[in-house]
Amino acid sequence: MAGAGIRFSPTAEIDGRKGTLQQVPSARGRGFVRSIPGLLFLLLAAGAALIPFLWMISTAFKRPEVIYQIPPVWIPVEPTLRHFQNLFGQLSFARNLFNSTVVTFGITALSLLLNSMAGYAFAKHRFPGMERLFGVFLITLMVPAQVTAIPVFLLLKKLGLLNTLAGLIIPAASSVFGIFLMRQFMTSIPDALIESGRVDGCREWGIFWSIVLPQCRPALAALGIFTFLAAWSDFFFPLIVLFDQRKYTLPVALATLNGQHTTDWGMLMAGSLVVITPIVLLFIALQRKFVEGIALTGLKG
Amino acid sequence: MISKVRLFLFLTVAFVPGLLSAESEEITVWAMGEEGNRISVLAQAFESENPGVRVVTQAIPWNGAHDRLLTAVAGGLTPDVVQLGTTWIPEFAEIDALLPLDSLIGEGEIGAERFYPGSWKTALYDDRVVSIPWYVDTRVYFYRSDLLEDAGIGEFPRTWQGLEELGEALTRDVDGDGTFDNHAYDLLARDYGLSVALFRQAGASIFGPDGKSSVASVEGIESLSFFRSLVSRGYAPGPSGRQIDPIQDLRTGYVASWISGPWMVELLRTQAPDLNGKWMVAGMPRGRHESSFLGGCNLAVFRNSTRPNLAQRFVVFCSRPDIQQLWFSATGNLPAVRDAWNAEELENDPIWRVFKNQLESAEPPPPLVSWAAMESAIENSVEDMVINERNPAETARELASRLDSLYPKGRRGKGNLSGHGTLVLGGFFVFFAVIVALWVLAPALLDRTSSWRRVGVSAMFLAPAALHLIVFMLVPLMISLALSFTNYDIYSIGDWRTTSFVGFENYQRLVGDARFWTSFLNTVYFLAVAGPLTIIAALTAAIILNRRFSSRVRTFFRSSLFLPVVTPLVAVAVVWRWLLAPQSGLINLGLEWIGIEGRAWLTDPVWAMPSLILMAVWKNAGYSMVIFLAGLQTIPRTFYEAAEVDGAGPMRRFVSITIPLLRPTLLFVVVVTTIGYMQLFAEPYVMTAGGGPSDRTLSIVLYLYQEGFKFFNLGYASAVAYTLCLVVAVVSFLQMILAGSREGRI
Repeated sequence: MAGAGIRFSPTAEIDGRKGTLQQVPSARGRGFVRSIPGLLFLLLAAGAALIPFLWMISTAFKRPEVIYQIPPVWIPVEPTLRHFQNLFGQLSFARNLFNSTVVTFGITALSLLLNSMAGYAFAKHRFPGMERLFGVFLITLMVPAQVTAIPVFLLLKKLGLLNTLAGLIIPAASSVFGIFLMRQFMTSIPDALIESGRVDGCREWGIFWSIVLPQCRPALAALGIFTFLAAWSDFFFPLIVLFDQRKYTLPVALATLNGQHTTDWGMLMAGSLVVITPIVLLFIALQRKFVEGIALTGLKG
Repeated sequence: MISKVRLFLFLTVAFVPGLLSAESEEITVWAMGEEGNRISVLAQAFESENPGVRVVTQAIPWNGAHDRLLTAVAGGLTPDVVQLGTTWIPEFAEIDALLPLDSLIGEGEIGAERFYPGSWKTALYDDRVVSIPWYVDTRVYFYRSDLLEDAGIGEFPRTWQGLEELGEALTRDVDGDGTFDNHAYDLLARDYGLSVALFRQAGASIFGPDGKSSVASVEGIESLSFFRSLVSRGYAPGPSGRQIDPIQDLRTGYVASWISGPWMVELLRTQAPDLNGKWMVAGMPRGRHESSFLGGCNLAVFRNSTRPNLAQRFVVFCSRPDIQQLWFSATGNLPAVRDAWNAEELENDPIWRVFKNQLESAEPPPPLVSWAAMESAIENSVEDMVINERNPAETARELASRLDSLYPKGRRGKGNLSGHGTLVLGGFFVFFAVIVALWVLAPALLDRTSSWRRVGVSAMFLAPAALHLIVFMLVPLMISLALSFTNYDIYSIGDWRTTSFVGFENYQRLVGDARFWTSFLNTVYFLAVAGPLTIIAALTAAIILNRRFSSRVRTFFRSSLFLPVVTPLVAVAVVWRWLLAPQSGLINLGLEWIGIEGRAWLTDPVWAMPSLILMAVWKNAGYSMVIFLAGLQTIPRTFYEAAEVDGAGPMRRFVSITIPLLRPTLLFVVVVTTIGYMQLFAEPYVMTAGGGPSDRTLSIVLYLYQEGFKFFNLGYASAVAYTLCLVVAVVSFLQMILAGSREGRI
């Protein structure tokens, strides 16, 4: 681990701090002492952030008689897999997991394509009325999503898409937020680059596909991640669109585990664990992209 | 036997009612939550008695079941058979969604005499049979028999007077600090079932035969006074008492009894094995009359069923005594059919015998389409009386007038959109659409210089997303905008022609709507506390992290704090509900450990919102932190070093360098947080049973959602939505002005 006095930054190029190392009076000890309160704060915060997850994991493997034990037990005695066996055996959690995967990847792929195309048009093309159209789209960001639920529901019925996974994917195929994000990023791509492509004889689609999109990898990653998270977590829309238990996505399937008056906590925690595990694994694998992507939305805004 | 190919067909298309070919007989049954997962037991029994018949069962989450059913009716995609909470039946019957089952009685298949009287009442609407009772629940007292014995009381009292004596005997101040440490019973103001039972025990009914509420009668006032006196004398702890969790309270003896339903028997046996043999149940003590709350669920057949005969047979099958017993053993739900109670496990158990007796006098709430709103009115009034020590007579009068105003006005006739309904509303919609389209297209139409070829190329890129957004976003938005000027509601679902154009009536109603203002203030409260807390926590963490840490340390903290952001709320809400749970919740256990007494956080009127705020900060701070971190890294380190050389302290450096240079980032975070928090919805929806206690966590979006999907007042809900939209726009605009941003950033 690097010493406390040496500052490491993964983005050393942007913070312009090359060669500043020896100018700072940061003796090892002093720097360390000074960072103690901060470290304490971080430790507390991280603890608070992680405890709910640890508790979830612990409970998911507990036998029912241990779950309510006071004082609480963190490491389950005689851990059990019975909750998971129920979820995947009696209930159709494996199927629900599959549905969630299809829906999430479908939405993510479609919205990456559609949003970046539209973002490109808004960022690099000039045509009359464009600002106003963009303005109309932006205003819709202020309207709570619940408002459109019924009209969209009736529309899906007309299209024969109720109770299908396509009925979840298609309405989410593009988003104002996504177009906005892509447009903001693409604005910073030099026009000269695009012009040079045009000079080289690229068709418009070729310019977009092989010049613009490769420049947009960070924005695409950000948008992909956001879309993925939102699609994976959505509860309300799948609830009203899907009728068939074997077509449920994970959050809806999880909600069926609640009884009217009673709650089987072990089962619920195991279910929650199934819902969050894929996304947490994805996060751990891609965490740098996550963080860069989110930072991007802030900086570009 | 079903071949594999057939099975495959079933799995893919069978569940869409009406699509199935007529080859084999099949019905679809929807049931809720756990029942939905277990009803397959009954389906299998039915299939084995009826070869060639298939019963497909679907579980619907309790959370959202009502919304799902109404949208299914609105979409014309209902199953054959559905489980309905007894209080939901009037709504579905009123809009003619249910198939009348009177013919079954004519054929002698089923009759009133087979069911408990209260239960049979729930089967009827407007004197027609629209459902068949499936299982019932009723409320009784659960009490600590050992504590009563210690006090020399042999059995639980049977009258109101006895209840008072029990209070006198068991309510004690053990440590002499002037507050009671033991109470005789816990009476929840937010349990309309109890209030309704007390009214009826006193001899008042919620509505008389004339459709006028009699809660303000002498008897009604008497029942409210009785309730208030039990609380004010300390026999029952008030709403601000330190009730933690029913089971825990019974275990510690904080209360010697409380009221609950049949499901509690199993819970007590498994969760409080230490209390075995020390508790018993008793019927509700009588006032002038005997009465208790009766709830439960019925099975109904939807009018759209493609196999009504088979569906009816299934419903009748489920009320057969042996099947009722089967259901009881599978789920513990009590049979609605008298004959089913001669099963050994029911007959010989003293606990179930108490329930059985109570069922004779238990009564359901009145079958009114607006009952859901009345429930909340009753709970709010009673709670208000108890908390604020209001005069019972006054409370009774207010409640009576509130109930009268909620009484259904009868079936609505044709609205002023009738006949040309679609035309007028469509015209309306076209009007909005044309205005927006003209405004957007005006520059293009006026501008003659631009090359149409270039526009065509742009259009190629823009068209897919733009068309998609227009179809799935703008058009629905305009439809709902048009709806906000109509009285589109549950009757409109039944018959579209009953809708009327009402101008700005919905918006006017909003101004005088106390619940809307409650939700508005709650949202402001949430925003005003959670917003700054989130931002301060995020900024602090970002500034610390931006200092000298090794990459691994930094990554560890950053990921930990960011983890809550990526996890689905539905899943984390489950954990938080338990962390905040009164009994065995980690937060209370932790507080106890450092000597602070815990609370029932999510049901405590004062603490429910702070609990949601805590969770929101936990969930969202990581997001802002990462944005801040990125912003901080663009500030050149040399600025700080120069300032340090000039002798500026850390605070000075923060104020003079960090804040000004971070301003665009800060503005972004503030605006995004504000917009997000003003649309607060999911947290109260999943955590506090939709805005409780007493609407203390009712947010604007939750309110619009309830109006729209619980009461199905879509016209009014749309008006709420557009008002919120306006507020959000104004607030974000103000923030940008205040921040002095002139670049038109978002």
